[in-house]
Amino acid sequence: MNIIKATKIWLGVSSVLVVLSLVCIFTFRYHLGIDFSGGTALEVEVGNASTYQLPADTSVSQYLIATYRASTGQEAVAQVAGSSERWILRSKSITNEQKNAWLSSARAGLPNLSELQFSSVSPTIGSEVVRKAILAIIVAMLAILLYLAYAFRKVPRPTNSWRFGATAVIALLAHDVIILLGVYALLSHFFGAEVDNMFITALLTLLGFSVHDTIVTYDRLRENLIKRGAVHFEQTVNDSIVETITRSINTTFTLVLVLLAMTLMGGRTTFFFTLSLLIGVILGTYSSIFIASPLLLMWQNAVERKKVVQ
Amino acid sequence: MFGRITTISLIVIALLGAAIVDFPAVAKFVGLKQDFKIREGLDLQGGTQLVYQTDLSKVAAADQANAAQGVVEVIDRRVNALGVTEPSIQKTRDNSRVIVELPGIKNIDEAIKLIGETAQLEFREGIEGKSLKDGKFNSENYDDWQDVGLTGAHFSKAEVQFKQGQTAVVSEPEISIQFDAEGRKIFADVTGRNVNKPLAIFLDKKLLSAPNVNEKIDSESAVITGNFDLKSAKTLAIQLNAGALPVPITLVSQNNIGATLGTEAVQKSVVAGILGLLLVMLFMWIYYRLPGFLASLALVFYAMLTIAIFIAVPVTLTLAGIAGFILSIGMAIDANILIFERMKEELRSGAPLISAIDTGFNRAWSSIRDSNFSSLITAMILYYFGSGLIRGFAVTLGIGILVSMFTALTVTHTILRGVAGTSLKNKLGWWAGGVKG
Repeated sequence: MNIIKATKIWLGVSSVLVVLSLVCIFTFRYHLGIDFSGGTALEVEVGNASTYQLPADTSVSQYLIATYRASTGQEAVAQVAGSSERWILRSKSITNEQKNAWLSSARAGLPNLSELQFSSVSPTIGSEVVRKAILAIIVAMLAILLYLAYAFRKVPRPTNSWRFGATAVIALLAHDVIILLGVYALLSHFFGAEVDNMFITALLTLLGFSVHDTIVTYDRLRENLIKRGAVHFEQTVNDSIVETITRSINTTFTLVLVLLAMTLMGGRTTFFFTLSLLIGVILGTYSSIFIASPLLLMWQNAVERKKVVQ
Repeated sequence: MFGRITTISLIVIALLGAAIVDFPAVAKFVGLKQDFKIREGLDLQGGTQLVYQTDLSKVAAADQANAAQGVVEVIDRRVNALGVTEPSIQKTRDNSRVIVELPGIKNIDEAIKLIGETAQLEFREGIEGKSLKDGKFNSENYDDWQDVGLTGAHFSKAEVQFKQGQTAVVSEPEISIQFDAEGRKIFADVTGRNVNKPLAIFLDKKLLSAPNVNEKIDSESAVITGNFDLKSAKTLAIQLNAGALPVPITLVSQNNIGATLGTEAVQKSVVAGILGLLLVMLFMWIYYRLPGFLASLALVFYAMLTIAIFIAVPVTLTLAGIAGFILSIGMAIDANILIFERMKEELRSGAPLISAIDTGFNRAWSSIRDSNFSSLITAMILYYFGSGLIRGFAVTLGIGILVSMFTALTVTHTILRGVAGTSLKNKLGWWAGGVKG
């Protein structure tokens, strides 16, 4: 198996994916969760259709929105949540009292209306959460870079540990994170996935996960470099990838099994969270095998060409 | 790491401990009366979370931590009067917020009213020409009255009572307050110099009442009237007893979760978790044969131990926390895969079984350590930057990673070595594919 030989193909495929993702990121607007944008999300149960006493020619959603407007003065968006008996209404922030007033007035048409969950967040909190999230992602990347540079400090020539750390983090940032953001833009646009605290959590968790396989490969590369010396660097890189590819795929596969179970069975609340983790771990393994090590090699070659020129 | 006997004893003790904490029946069997229960977060058991912004603009930087802590204590005393079981009131590290969690509460409006008001009660005397005109009441404006240094800090007790001497069936509630020694002295001085003039009582800078002083009052108690209904009088009495908030607060986020949603979510997560665990065990068994089977036993042990740690710490388990734990099951097996792959390589290159096992563990260690460390780093960053929900996830993931390193390196290793000492050692095909025994 010669993975390095086909480097151009892997990098080509990934570049196309990255560009497409960037296009998605900038064309589609993300739905922001209320923990980011501020506002109210109210989940209610409306009961069985036979109990409705709605005015003629009025659907449940029209009725919910009209009474909501009358009681709270806010325009709401109503969405079915899971079953037809459950709805989520979203609007600008309202108070607990306004919500209670609406519930009692809307019971005229929906006698069994009951509240399941009510969240209300003032917009001031949102901007702070976004700032913290971005900061956390940057800090996590730097911390991983530093740790890898430290962990691989004994790596022999011709390469060095900073290049190990940097290529691992580039594979992460330029590849995994951007493509995941792109896919999520599609999920957000077409399926209503929200960018919220859970999504940021998934993103940060992936930063830790995605380097796992890269570390396994680099660890073997270090071992092989010590054993064989610096000659045939390209061959050594390829061998290290091939020798560790099964374990990279298998460790991801067990995670995929668990995440698949959680995505399919775990319920609506965590659906997009586990789905983004699922997409992320697959991306992470792909980039560990096909991006990180080839990048390391390209870097090495560039350094050597420079030496020859000098 | 340790001697073999020590390691085995350690594992047995951990297993017993975990069984006692995890399963009530086992705890009962060994004669423990204590009921070990996992602590459920609001999203699982239902309840309300209120986030308040503290207004620290008028507080010197050095005193901000104290002011925020004061807010926490006052809210704690007020909430206690509500009779909520196990409320949690915490301030954020930067003192800008106070997070109040009230599990299972029904009357949220009442709680919000009770918690949110500053409840700064002040007695103020009149200024001729401003609040007073010819010694008569002239202004409701807070700034037209003058501070006398008598505030809630001088009250030792507040109570609701009913106006005496009323013949009406519904008598008007009023609040009786008791002064401490200093309060009594100030009150006597103030009433002494304001005879035949009104004395104003303000609550949060709003005029409650301004009764006329008939004579100097040297008494340890006073009565406040002010158009109270029974509910508002009770609320104010609780607030006065709990003390005024040191700084004003505003409600910035509220989350009420019904218990139904939580129960459903827990059921679904548990089903998903068990299914995930079974799938991983099945895969390990099929792909890695005997070692895979032994590793899946260690995985069950891992799950038991982790849950026991959650109960013992205790970790408040949220939905995100459950997700973190289930995820860590998938990761816990990673270490085993790294080790077994290495073992296979050794076996195929003709190494004897025991030495292949040991080499597998030793050589895989650096990869396991480095990859788990990078996950621990992100878990720590999540914990540091995150709010309650994210922290729950970070904690369970972090504990999961640490426990998984322990089980992979000691438990699986010990079991493997143990089994390799039996007659099974001759069936090399059971240990790895492509190796003839």
